[in-house]
Amino acid sequence: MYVNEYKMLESYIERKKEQKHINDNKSNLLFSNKKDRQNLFLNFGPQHPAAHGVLRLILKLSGEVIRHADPHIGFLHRGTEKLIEHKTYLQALPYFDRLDYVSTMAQEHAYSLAIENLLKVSVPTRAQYIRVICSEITRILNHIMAVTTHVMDLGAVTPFLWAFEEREKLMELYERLSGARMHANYIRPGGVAQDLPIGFLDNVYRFLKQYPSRIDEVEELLTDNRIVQSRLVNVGKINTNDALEWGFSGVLLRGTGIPWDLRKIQPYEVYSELDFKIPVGTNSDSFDRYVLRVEEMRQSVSILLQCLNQISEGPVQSNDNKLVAPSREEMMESMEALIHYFKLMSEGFFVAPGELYTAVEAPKGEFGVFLVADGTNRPYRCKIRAPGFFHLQGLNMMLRTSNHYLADVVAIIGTQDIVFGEIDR
Amino acid sequence: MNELVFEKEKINIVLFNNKLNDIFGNLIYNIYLKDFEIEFQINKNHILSVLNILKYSSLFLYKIFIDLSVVDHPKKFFRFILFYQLLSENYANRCRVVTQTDEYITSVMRIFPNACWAEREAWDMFGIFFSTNYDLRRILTDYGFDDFPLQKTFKLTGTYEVSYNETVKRVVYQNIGETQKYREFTFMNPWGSFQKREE
Repeated sequence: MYVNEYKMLESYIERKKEQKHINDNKSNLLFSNKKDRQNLFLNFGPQHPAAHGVLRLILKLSGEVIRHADPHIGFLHRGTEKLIEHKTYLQALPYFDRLDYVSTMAQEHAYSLAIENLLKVSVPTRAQYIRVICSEITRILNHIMAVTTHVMDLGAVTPFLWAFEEREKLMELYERLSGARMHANYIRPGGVAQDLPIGFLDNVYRFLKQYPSRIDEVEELLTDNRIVQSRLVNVGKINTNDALEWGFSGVLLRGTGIPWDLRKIQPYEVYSELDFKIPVGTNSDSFDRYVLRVEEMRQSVSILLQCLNQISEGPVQSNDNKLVAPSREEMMESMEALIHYFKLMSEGFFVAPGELYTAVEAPKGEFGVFLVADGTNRPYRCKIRAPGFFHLQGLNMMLRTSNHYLADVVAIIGTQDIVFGEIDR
Repeated sequence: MNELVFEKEKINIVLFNNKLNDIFGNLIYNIYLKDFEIEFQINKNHILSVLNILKYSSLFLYKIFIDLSVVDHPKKFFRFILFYQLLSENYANRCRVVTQTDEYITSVMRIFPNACWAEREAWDMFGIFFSTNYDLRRILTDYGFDDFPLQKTFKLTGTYEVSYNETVKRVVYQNIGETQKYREFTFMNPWGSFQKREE
C-alpha cells in the first residue's frame, strides 16, 4: 500500500519473470501453504524481558515447533544516520555510543578510524595502546553482559549478580577515563580525548589480577551445569556455509570453525604486536558460543596485561592542529592556537571528498562505518553496518533449520547477543 | 589474486586490469584499486552478472555480503548511488560494487540471501524499489509510515509526531507543532577557512 502504482506496474513484468524463483523460495514466506490453518501464530514482544529490548517476533508454530519467525524491528529507531548528516564530524561521535550501548567504545573506535583513514592521519603509539585498552575493556564489558543475561534467560540468576559487580568495576574505570560510566565519548578522531588519569593503569592491573578467578567462579556454575548444557548444546546450530551466506561475523562465525577476527586479519592499531589467540568452535551451537565468549574474555585479559607492560609515555593526540584542538597551555599563550581551538569547536574540521568503509572487530562482530565526505565539515552520508542487524536476519534460518521449540527462541536470541540500539539505529 | 592484492609492491596494475577485462568484458565501466579495496563501477543492469562472477569465481570468492549503502544526490540525473560492500573470506579482501539508479534496481537476494534486509532498509529509507525482492516491506520505520526519511529532501524534524492522548485513551498521530522554526547551523564561514589541509 506504500508503493507508488507506476513503480508496481514497471516491476510487474520483471516479477513475472522471477515467479519461478519466488516459488522456490516460498518456504521463506510467512503464509506459505494451506496447512497454515493448523498453525498457531504467536506474537513475541514487542515488550518481552527475554528479547533484550524491543523486538516483535511473529512466530509460526506447529505444536511447539517453530516453523517460521518474522522479526519486526525498528521500535528503537532514532534516525542516527540522518542526525549524523546534520552534525559536524566531532558532534556526530556521541551517537556511536548510543548504538550498541553495551560496547560503546568499540563503535567510537570504528568511527574515529574511518575519519582518520579518510584524512590519512596517523595516531601516536600511546594513543593506540590506550585505544586497545579501551576496546578490550569494552569487550569484557560486553561479554559479561552477553553471557550472564543469556543464562539468566535460561533461569540462572546468580552469574548475573556476580559478574555485574565486575562490570561495575569496569564502568568505574570508564568513569575515571571520561567522566561517564557508559557513554564515554573518549576515543576521538586523531587520538583520545585526554591522557590516562594518574594511577589508572594500576587500577586496571588490580582488576585484572582478580578477574580471571571471577570468570572461574562463573564457569564453575555454568559450564558443567546439566541444565545449561541441555538448554544450549545442539541448539542454534549453524553450518559454515549458512553463516557466510547470511553475513554472520564475530562469535557466530567463529563458532562455525572459521578463525575470522579482524584484529588478526586486518590488524588495526597495535593488535599486530600483541600476542593473542582466536578461539574457534567445533560444534557451532549455542554452547560453543558461550564457551567462546568466556575464552575471549580470558584473551582480552591477556591482551590488557600485555598493553600494561608495553605502553610508553608520549602524546595521546595527533599533533595536527587542523584536526585536534591545541592544548590548554598553548591556547593561553598563542593567538593562533586560540583561533584554531575556536574554529575547531565551532566550525569543525573539513574532510576532502571521498568515501571509505572501515570496520573493526566489535565484541558482537564486524562493526563497519561507511563514510561519504563531500569536502565540508559534515559527513554527507554515514552508513552504519551493525553486526546484530544481519544476525537477527538469520534468526529465522537458525530456528527453522533444526526444528527448534518455543523455549529455544529465547536461547537463540541470547546467543546472538542482540542489542537493539545498533539494530534499529 | 591473493598475493596481487595483498602485497602492495607486487601489484602489476596493467596485468591486473587486463585480467579483470578478460573476465568482465564490458560489464564494468571502471575499476579502482584503493589501498586494500577494489571498486567496480557498473551499470545497474549488470548487477546480477557482476555479483555472480564476484561470488563464485575462484579469483574473487567474495562470499560475504557485508552491506548495502545508498547515497542520495537529489540533483543528479541518477539520483541514488548504491555501494555493495563485499568481503572475501578466502583472500581476506574487500571490494565494493558501485552502481547508480533513479528509482528501481534488481534485487540481489538470489545471490546473497542476506541482502534482503539491506534492501528493505534501502527501500524504507530512500524509496529505491528492488524489483525482485519478494519481501519488500518497510523495516525500520513505523507501521503505516509513508515517507523516505534518509532522502536529502526529507526534513530533519520529520512530519508528524506521536503522543498518548488521555481523552481518547490511545496513541494519536499529529503534525509536528513547531513553536520555533527549525534552524540549520552549518557553521561554515563564507571565506572558507582552513578547508584546504596541508598535505
